Amino acid sequence: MTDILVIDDERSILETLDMFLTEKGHTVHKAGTGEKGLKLYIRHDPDVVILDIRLPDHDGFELLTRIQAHENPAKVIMITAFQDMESTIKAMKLGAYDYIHKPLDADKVEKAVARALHTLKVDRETPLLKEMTQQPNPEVIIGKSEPMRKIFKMIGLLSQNRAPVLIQGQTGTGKELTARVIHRNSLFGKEPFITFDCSAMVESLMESELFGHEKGAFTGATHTKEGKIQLAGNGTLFLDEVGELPLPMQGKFLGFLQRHEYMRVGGNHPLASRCRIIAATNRNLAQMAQEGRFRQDLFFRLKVVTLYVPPLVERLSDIPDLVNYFLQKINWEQGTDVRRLQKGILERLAAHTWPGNVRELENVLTEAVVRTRGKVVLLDDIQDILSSTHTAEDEDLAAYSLPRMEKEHIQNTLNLLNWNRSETAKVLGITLPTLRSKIRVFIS
Amino acid sequence: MSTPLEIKTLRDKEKELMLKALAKTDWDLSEASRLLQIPVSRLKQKIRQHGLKQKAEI
Repeated sequence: MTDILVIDDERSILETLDMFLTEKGHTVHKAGTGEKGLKLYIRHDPDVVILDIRLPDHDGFELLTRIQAHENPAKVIMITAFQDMESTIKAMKLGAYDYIHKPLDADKVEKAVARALHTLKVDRETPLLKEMTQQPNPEVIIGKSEPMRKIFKMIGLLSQNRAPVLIQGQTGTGKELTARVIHRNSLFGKEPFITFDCSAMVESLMESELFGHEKGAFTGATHTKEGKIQLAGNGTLFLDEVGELPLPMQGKFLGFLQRHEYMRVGGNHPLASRCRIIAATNRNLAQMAQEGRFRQDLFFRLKVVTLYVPPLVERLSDIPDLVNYFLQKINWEQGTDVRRLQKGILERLAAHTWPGNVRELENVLTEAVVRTRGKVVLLDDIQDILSSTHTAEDEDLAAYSLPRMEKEHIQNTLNLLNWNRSETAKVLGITLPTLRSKIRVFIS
Repeated sequence: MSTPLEIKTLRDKEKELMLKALAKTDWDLSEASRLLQIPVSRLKQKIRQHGLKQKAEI
């Protein structure tokens, strides 16, 4: 049994909604003014309020705000005659659950009410995660599974020295985070942590980025520039995607690792550095070395200590802690307050294969938080998001689909020719009626 | 109005994609029809229409 409060100054709407909702088995309370609406709200504590944005005595927004101020407020569905984006956004910001336009469509009203009640029910039956009072620490590794405990132990050992570290792990497992945590926990944790992404730069710029260059070393070198190695000082230089380092650079970098000395481009005196090197890759460096695509000697230098960050599927038991952490982080960043999970979500998450690992989990949760309009992550949303994320392989296979190619080629051609259908048909080598029927199929 | 030169006819695009799929699957027609997302019978018909032939092994 549910209580619904309808606040609208139009008698006909009040009567229609009363009849319609009573027939569906709800108890309906009616108010023609905002004042009466508030009184009924306090008296009956309804589950859902259907509220007109324009009332004779009150602004609908004001009423919405006052309802939202109650503890466990009702789900509010706003009605308006104006198809106006601004008031829609304003209403949603103020916490309205949904928004329907006049003239009212019985189907839409029923769906909105059903959705609101569903969310309310889920709100009530799921436990609350603990509230977060400060920004979650961005440099913390979440997990207590066996493989993660091994990593924590290694980080402890590494804190006492400056040995180079190689971090291996799939994309999205948190290799950079691991590197930062190693750095923070070391004796020189207050020194700089400098990242150099070996995949982000053209080869010709790499040397001067890494080692720096002297004034006049090449055209455009108007100033002496410090390289990343120098910026790292006594701290840590993190080489991301080290597998992408081009072979000539590998040789130069090896020289630096062996002598702890390097020269700027165009320079002629060696500079010393004692920064720690942490390199990371998602590639199989051992195999690349065997195939001659990565220098064997550099590989051996880098892998003095190797950390293997496990993919998420190898530590599914960490999912509850990760979800808890990410929800806090997302709430903090987005200003949301989603602190409950509908039953079944953790089980569904544990059944996923997670090709994008922890990063994918964060993205899925972010999208789910954006989608939900209550304070609960909904199972349906999670299902939906997980089944719509295509793996790279799916994408690849779709590239062979004939129907898809046809659709895309026709759309591109139409766009190129400003939707001139007869011209498009001619260019594509089909008749105008054929083109017309194909367009109809796409649109439907 | 001039016609852009680069736009291929649907027939040419179709032929290209079929050849790619057939090459990838070594002319396994049921596998290729799955990739192309059309029924096998339709694929066979299209192979005849385009006059496609598997290159002999050297």
